[in-house]
Amino acid sequence: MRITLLLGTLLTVMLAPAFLQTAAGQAAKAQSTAPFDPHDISGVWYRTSPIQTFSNVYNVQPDLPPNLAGARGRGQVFAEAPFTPAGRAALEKNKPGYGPRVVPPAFGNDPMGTCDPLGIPRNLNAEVGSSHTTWQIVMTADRMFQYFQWHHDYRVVWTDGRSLPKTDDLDALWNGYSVGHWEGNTFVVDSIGFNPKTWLDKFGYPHTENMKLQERYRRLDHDTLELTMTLTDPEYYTKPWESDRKLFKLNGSPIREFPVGEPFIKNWDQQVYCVPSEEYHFNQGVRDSGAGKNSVR
Amino acid sequence: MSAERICFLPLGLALLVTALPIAAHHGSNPNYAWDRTITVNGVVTEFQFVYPHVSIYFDVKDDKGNLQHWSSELGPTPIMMRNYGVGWSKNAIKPGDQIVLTCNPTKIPSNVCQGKKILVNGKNMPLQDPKGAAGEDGQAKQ
Repeated sequence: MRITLLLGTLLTVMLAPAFLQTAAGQAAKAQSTAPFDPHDISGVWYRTSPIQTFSNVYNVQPDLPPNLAGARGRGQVFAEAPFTPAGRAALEKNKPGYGPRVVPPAFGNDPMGTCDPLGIPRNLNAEVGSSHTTWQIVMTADRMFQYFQWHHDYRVVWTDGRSLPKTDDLDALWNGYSVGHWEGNTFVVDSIGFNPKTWLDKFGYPHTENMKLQERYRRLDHDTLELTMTLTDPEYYTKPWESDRKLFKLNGSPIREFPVGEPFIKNWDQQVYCVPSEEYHFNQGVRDSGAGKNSVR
Repeated sequence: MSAERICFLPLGLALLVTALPIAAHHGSNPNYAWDRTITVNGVVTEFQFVYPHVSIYFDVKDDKGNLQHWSSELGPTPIMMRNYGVGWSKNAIKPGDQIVLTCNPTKIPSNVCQGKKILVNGKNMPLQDPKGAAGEDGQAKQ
């Protein structure tokens, strides 16, 4: 009797997630048929594609030892970017806390570790998990606003028909200078004028101030937004480098609520600033102490 | 570090509590030995309930009676701010509180660890969502 009860409980625990996923999937499928305007990509979108780097491309034949993979990226190896020698040299100067080239952040130089702005395209990766995998799009008559939960940052994409200025006319901007237009049902954003202090992603991929970036947004159904990006930066990359296909779900979609049973929207606008003074305190007291850089005060 | 105050849990329990690592957004993942768990008793000196890291500072007596300063990252802030219905807030822990902290130690010897479970004055304060919610990839993280 006791064994039967135990087995029953075990089976229930094992099968419950599958049941919940099926139920969520059916609900999502039902909602995905809801009507939508393909030229309206407004909404709070949360990332569902994994890994959170610019390219997210797996190498077919992994050739890096496991100890070079990050704590969370263990066993995941990525295809390399089409670097120029200068690009590879720039990559080597960047010491990330994630990925195949992970170092303890105490000895790294990820701009995030000092609360520097992530910039574009890194903000678009929605790399910071939990409630801040989201960004919000608001479209007005002459511009698109994109709000990022991390650092409570935002960028403007002009849609009033203006052309991009000359790069030489721009000072380096953390989020670049962006204009957008529609090509069929695809919203195309072209940007220049980026600050080279930012990384493309948390793996430390670099860019110059002459990088040109094109983002292509397409609403696949009521609940799903697709983003692909292509950067052109001849000094660091021998050819245009395409991102992987990033997918986002509309907030409130039943596919993934967080936590279970509570709509994601309740977690919106937590004003997640990275405060330099608090970050410094944490780095001194926890991050660096744990890496042997100093003692806990 | 006090051998009396730090004990290694049985392997099975350690594996259980480390099944869902809570990883800091950019904090110090590479620092920790995720496959090991220790338990530390201490007295709180400071509690930081802020983004992006919730951290706690506390003193632990070593086997000679000397105070050792310790620190630990706790759960992802946005998840803890949902408070799990157990009252997580900036006032949840105060200097002078007694804690029993189960945590992942660092790979190198240090007085820092990643919190997994905490008793505050004998009361269990969950560091993971009791509903089992997790971030993408099956991990709760920030």
